Amino acid sequence: MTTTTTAGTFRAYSRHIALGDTVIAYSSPKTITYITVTADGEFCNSYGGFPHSSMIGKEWGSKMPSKTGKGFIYLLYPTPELWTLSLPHRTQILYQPDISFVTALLDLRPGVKMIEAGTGSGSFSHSIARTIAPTGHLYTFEFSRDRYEKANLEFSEHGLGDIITIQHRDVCVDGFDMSDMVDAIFLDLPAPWDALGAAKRAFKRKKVGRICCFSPCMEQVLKTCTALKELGFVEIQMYEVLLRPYDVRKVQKRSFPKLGDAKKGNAGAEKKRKAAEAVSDSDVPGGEKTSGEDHTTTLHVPLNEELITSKPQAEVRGHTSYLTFATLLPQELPVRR
Amino acid sequence: MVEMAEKMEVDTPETTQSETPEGVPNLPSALDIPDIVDDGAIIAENSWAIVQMPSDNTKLVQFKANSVVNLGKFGSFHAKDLFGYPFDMPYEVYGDKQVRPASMNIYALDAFDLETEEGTTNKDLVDRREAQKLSQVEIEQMKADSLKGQVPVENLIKTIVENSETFDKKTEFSKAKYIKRKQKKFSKVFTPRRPSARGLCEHFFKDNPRRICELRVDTLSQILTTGNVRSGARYLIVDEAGGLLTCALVERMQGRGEILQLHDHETNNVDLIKHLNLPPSIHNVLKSLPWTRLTPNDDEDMENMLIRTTDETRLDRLRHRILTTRAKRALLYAGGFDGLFIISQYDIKEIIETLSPYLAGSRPVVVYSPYKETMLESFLHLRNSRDFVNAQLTESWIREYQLPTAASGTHPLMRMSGSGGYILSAIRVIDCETHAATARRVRVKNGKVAEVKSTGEEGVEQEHA
Repeated sequence: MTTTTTAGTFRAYSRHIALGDTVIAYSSPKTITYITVTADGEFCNSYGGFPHSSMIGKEWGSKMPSKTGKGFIYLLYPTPELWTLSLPHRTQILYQPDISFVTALLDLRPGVKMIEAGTGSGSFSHSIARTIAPTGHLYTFEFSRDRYEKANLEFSEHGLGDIITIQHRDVCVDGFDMSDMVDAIFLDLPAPWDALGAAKRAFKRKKVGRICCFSPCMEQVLKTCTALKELGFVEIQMYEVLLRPYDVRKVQKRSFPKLGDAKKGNAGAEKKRKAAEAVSDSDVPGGEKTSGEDHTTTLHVPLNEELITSKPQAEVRGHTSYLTFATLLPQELPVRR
Repeated sequence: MVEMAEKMEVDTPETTQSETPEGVPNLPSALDIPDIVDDGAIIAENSWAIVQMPSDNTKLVQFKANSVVNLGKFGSFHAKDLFGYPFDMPYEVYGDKQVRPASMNIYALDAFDLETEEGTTNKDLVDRREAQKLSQVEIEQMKADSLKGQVPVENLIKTIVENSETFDKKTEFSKAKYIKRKQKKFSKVFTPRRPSARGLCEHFFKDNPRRICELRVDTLSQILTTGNVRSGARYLIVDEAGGLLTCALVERMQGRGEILQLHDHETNNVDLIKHLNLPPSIHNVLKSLPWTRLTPNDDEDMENMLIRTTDETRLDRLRHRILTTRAKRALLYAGGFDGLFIISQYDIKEIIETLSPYLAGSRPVVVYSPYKETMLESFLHLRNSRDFVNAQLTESWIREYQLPTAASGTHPLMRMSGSGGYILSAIRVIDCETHAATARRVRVKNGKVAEVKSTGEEGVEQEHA
């Protein structure tokens, strides 16, 4: 059991919770929040209090009952993805589907030096830091003084100070003041085209650079593409990415009633079927009920096997942003080494 | 036949195969290995490359010292002429199997001066061969000159465009398309890309999707974030997608950490790994253990097995193999892994049940399958298990757009990939008895008290259940 403060939970996996760690308090897929463990703090939800002191030394992932015993939470390790679901929103944030795809198409991996503008709520910054550590570096820029200060504090509290450098700067006006330094650039700005000239200068001169502009509107995409072309970027591609979650439930597969059976009835089977459906309903988080027509079927149908079914959830996110990618080739011809 | 134990002083554990750490050689450690993947930015002898051709098709080739790389109608060149040059840059074939860095002007074709009136439509456009003023002979001559390197490709295309009577009548958008088409037809410019997990995924998804279990690049990217893949961590993996997922993990770890693969047969078929141009030290990170050796086999008991050789080198090799197998098994049994990744045709639920005890708390299990039906039962298992939370079944969806040009024509591509597969994931947790859990009893009608399994999802008792 450790009671010392760690360098920061986000920097590397640990097995046990320590003082100062960020803990994800997980109650259900839709009730996820975060706790910073202090010596005498207490986390409270509607089922009671959860003293921080009892969290210290527990293995990550432990189930923890409230003091009243009426409920419990799971103490989860703060992966960038769980952090994204629980972090304090200061802006519209990037979610996992876009984050994952951008990470792949910018070829992020340990050792990559990259630029992000703007920092926003720091959702993507945490994910980038995880992927490029321990040898890479993220230079992130935020033009709001308030968001800059909050993110700066957060990065150092999370032990990411050696991976992330944050600056308070309006890059569309003042550029990045960097040249020949980075492998990849991500721009989540209202007018990314205003920063593209500075972005071009920031790329390493002798390496192939990758850029992504994240814009919710098509008008922005068109202006961005024009600017990218004018600046000599190539392989311009644009995508939308979404994640489609599925609901899984058991349904009864019933055989068609035989002629003549109709009058006999089969009350026992119907009772069994209803009981089975009640159980499978309670399995579904959110307690979705079967549609009415399932209950209006005839009593005379014999109960048959169960079928596990799946369907996309009824209402899902339909749009986040358009992702425009481009490549910047070195401006000199390659030489043989 | 010789009894093994008499011939050699082997410090095998007494009698049967107890998994004591003593007497087991240390497996190579990954500490202090530099960024191994990034060493390979320069084309060297025997390097693999994903060659992107003017047609945008890709070809996976190995640059051997004496080989001629054949790009079909785009020509061929001597592989050794590229040794020492960087990957990912454009090169062009010219003359007699010659190759050289390509002029960047080829990309400038997109931005041609297209000075005609706006608002042209194809109303007056008649498509016929005579629209081109140059004769076929003249074009062939220019192509030959271009091949010899006397005429740059962009000049060739420009001449053809200028001699097209109908070109001016085309709409801005179809002009761009026309140029692009000619560019693909006449250019000999190709890009040898350094193989990466993304590159291999994109190549095989087009070329031979079955080889990689139809795993699409966006789905692969979701797997890596869902699994919190990072440098320095330790992962368990079952990879029946030719090793593509293993490639992706290796790349995101850059030589720091540990991957233990569980696989069929004695040797592990993760063929795609070889394309990453990794140094042999990669095996310090990547270890494999066959399913059949999760428990000790008879052929690991040197005292009681029959050995048909007295050759010391072969005996040494045998001893080394046995001890290494034991070490890898001890590694698995020691547990504490940071993630479990599965692409397998075996029963997913059984694999999860077999391997999840070796996962540390709050670590993910991520399963991929091109068929969601093979994961539905496992989904219910994970959702209802007290050892997992946050079970999710998802499908990644991606739409690519036709390149927006200043003139016109922004819309999704007319054809797209219909599916990139499904991901099942959950987080392993450490269950404990809580008052809440014990209160989870419900009275059923006949008065008996039955234990109702906690779904672990609500975080609160449903005493009214």
